[in-house]
Amino acid sequence: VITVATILGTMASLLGLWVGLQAQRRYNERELAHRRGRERALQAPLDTAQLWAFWDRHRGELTSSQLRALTSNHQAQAFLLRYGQRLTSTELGILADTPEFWIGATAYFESVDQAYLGEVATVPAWSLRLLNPEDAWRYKLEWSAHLYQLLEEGEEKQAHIDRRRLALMAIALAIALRARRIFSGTR
Amino acid sequence: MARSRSHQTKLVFQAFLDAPTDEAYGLQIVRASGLAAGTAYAILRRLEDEGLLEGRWEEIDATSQGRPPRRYYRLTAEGRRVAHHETADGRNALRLLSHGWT
Repeated sequence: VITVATILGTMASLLGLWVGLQAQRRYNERELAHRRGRERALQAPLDTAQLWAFWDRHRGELTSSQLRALTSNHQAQAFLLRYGQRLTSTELGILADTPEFWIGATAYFESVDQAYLGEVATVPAWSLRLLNPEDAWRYKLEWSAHLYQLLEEGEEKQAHIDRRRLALMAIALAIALRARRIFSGTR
Repeated sequence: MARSRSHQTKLVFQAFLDAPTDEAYGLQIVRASGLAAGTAYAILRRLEDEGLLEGRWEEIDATSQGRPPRRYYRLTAEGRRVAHHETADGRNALRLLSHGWT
């Protein structure tokens, strides 16, 4: 009885293992097909609606090269207008490496100035031009938060003063950061 | 040889040490240190590049909150050590002055 029970037990374990392996293989195949389909879709030219649907569906799973592909087809401005405020800092970091992103981003900054924050709550766009793209984005956001809070608390005069000071500081900061990068041997 | 820090940098260090929480954003530091906004942000950047401060973005949905995210800074372990050292000099000087160099 013990021998039969042992044999049956071993057979059941082997059957379970085989079922598990088959399920894993099917899952892997499906996953591979899914990934291949996604890669093919990214290589194909997408219209605006497809692009946005793609972003909505695959948010968080896209690789850095796929993320770049989403904004390197001259649609960065429209993309940012729709998603700019919701991008995570990691996504922004990846996008910031794409030159095409900045073509659209400049127009986006201007539209944000007008529509979202109002003129006083952002530093003038010209003052950020000497900064490299990542720093320009960083200080645009950081200083907007600063000016926005002053305005919220009714300190409009101080907001105007700080806006002027920060605009001038952006130029000095850009020069200092460039000099620091040159001396430290990084770009 | 230890580098000499500017008075403004010491004010920023003091603002961090006096902060009620271990994180502070730009405007809080500007107000606590009494420095002009431009000066304070330049110092924050330099200290961050030196590894004495670490920064992170506030995680909010800017659209629903209706405001841009803040950048929070905190002293690193090394930053805390340097901040204590730098501000201790100032405290010692004040103590000496108040005791008439006795």
